[in-house]
Amino acid sequence: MSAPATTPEAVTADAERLRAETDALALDRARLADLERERDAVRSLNATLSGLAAELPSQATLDQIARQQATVSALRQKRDALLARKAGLQ
Amino acid sequence: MADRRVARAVAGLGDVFTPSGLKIPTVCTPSTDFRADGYGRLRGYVRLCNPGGAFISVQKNGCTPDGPVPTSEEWAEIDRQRAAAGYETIGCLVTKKSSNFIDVAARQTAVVTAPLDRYLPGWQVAVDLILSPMIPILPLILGALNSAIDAAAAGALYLIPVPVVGGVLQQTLVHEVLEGGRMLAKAGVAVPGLLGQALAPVGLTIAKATATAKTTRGSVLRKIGAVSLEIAQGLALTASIAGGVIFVAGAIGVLPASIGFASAINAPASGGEFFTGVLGGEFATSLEAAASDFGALSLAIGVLKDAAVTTSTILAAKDAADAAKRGAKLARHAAEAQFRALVAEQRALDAEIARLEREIAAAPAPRTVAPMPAPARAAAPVQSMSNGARALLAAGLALALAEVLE
Repeated sequence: MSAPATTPEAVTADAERLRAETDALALDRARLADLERERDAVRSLNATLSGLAAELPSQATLDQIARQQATVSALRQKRDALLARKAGLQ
Repeated sequence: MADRRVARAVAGLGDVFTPSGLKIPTVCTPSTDFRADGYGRLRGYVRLCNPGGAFISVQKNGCTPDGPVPTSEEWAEIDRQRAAAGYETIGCLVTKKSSNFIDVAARQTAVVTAPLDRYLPGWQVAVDLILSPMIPILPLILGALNSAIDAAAAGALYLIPVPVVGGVLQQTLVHEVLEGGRMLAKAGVAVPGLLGQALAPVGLTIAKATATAKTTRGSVLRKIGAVSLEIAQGLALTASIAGGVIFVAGAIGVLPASIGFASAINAPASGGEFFTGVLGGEFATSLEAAASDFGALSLAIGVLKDAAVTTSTILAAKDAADAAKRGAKLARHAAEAQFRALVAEQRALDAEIARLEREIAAAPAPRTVAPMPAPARAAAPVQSMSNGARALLAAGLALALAEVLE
């Protein structure tokens, strides 16, 4: 800590210096608060994104659906053919 | 070139309405809603609609003279009235500056621009895209992504959400809006229902530029490895290369009944404000609601990079991701339900086929009809004769010929 000022000029200079330091500290605090907010926001976003993929339909499910659609489509055709054949018998 | 495209777009979209009274149902107003949702960047909002199925939203920073921005309920009522009048929402395109919009949108998307710039100088413009599940969505997604990439590369702020609502949309209209003819053509090779695979080439191409996304201060944003999300990341990186910021929130349809939407915003680094209010507020909610109505897969990712990224944009991404997460869950359930339904249908078809086969097997043999006796003919066809008959005929003909010759 510096020695106390003993002249009006020195007191004034000290006061200005302290004011500048105070302003700088305030700015630092504000910047720190900004950084903390951003950090929290990023953490929050990342946490959400990390769970997002798990919520999607799995590729296995999609593949199953595709195969099942093909199977059902073939069965529909077979059914339609049988219906036509049966109609021809009547 | 731009003027011509704009003119074509106007013709395709129908009449353009302006807040100064030229057929636009003016709802342009100072926004308290967007401020209330914590993002506070959007101050004014107006939607332009036309009988062709589009409406265009116009947004502006700073107060506008016409009253408060509609609330969600008011928007719903506006949309209801619009629907009753035969309008259909088809899209959303957002740009940062009208001047950029003129340059970029006219070049990339062919959305109405000149009238808006003329009547609303300095305004941001949005055209909502809401597509019917009855039309092929993949080409539109590809087109949207492509346009988003182009716009991002050009430094524009760009948003293309493609949620789903009921109703049938004129595909030509979408074509006009997205300026998507080239992508529509490319999409012919795609396989609906396997959208991820279909998009893979696009994603792989874009993903070449992929790097870890970071915020302004260096915070690393998580990357997700899914193909469709690689596309999102690729978009973000494409935008960042141009010195901008891009936010991607997308939903990719994977089921026949589902559709997806893809959103991308790129704010130029020099442009200052970012569209935080749109995706994070009621907009994301409305997208989710629209998608969930159809059990659509709805996924979102926010990829933020470069100077314009702020905490509020990250929070907006978080909101959108939350909404998308819920949509993804709905989509997963829808996929599982669809699979169960297909299995049930297979069983039913198996049973029906077995029954039909039994019935056919048990059916009496078809009664055979005795051939009618052939009528007596003076000269039967040669090919039906026996060899002896042929010999006799030949002998007879020879005799007859001999008689004639004599």
